[in-house]
Amino acid sequence: MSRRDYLGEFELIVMLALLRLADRAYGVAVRREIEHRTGREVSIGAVYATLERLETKGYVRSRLADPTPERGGRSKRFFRATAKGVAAVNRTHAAVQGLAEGLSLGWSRA
Amino acid sequence: MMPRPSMPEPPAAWRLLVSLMTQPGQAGPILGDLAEEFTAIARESGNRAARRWYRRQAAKTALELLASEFRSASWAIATVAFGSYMLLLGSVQLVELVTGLLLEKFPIYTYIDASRFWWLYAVCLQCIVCPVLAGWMAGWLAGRRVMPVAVALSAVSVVMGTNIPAGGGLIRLPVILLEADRISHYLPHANILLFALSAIKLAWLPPLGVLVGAALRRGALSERTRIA
Repeated sequence: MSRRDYLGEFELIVMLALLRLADRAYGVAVRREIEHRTGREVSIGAVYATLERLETKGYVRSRLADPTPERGGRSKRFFRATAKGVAAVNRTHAAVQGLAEGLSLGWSRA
Repeated sequence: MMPRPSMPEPPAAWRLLVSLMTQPGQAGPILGDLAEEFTAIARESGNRAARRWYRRQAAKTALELLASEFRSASWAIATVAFGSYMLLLGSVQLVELVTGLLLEKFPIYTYIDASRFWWLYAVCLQCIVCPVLAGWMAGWLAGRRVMPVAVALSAVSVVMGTNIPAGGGLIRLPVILLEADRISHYLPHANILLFALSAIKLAWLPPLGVLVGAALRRGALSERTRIA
């Protein structure tokens, strides 16, 4: 299995945010979801750069919605994980879990 | 009826920066997302806080998008930037050659003051017109990656200069300092450091010209994408 079959750390975070948001996943929502769940401050640019990369790999699909006035007449771009993307998330998650298994990392839930 | 308060607008210069750093046709949703959050912050915390947030987000976003392009196509960007740099050097040398021929064939200095002529060919043509054209050409060669190529070309221009061996470029500074003895021999009263700084004082103009040329090309591409 090649290294490219696994997602990078931020790619995995973005994919999980997409899966959580389902059909409400656009730039602002993804950014807020990541900040809310991880406490990590991310820029819209970082989210879009990652989503573009994931779309090139075929892990994500996007569509444009109608423009709205509160966005200065610009449309939202909604993203959705593909089946290939979900498989990549599972593979990466399994690899991380496999590596962490048996290690005492103090991960017990509070 | 009370007039409806106008919605605050995000800073135009930062909007322009973000739209330049995105690929043609892809700026809309990103600018829309930024505008949506800007409006929400302005409503909650006021215009000043919203503007501060927008500036920080726009700078980070522009850098992230640029870095992402460099990561995904570093060789392609480097190749086009190098080719465009050669084009820029060639055009500057061509101006040098034509100017030399003109000075040889015609008594130019009887019609125009020498310093004015120098401003015309060395500053206007070599430091502004040639870099703007090179930036535009680089944008044309780069396809959709206009600004990453222009930024790379600008960086090379800052370091190497655009008129080898005549001057310009940060690389020229240590060369002049290393040749201090030889320069002192010809210019005994010259302050070497000031001489070195004067050699690179126009070094910022060509990189700026390259960015302007590429931005013009990027604007033309956006216009074409909008029409299509």
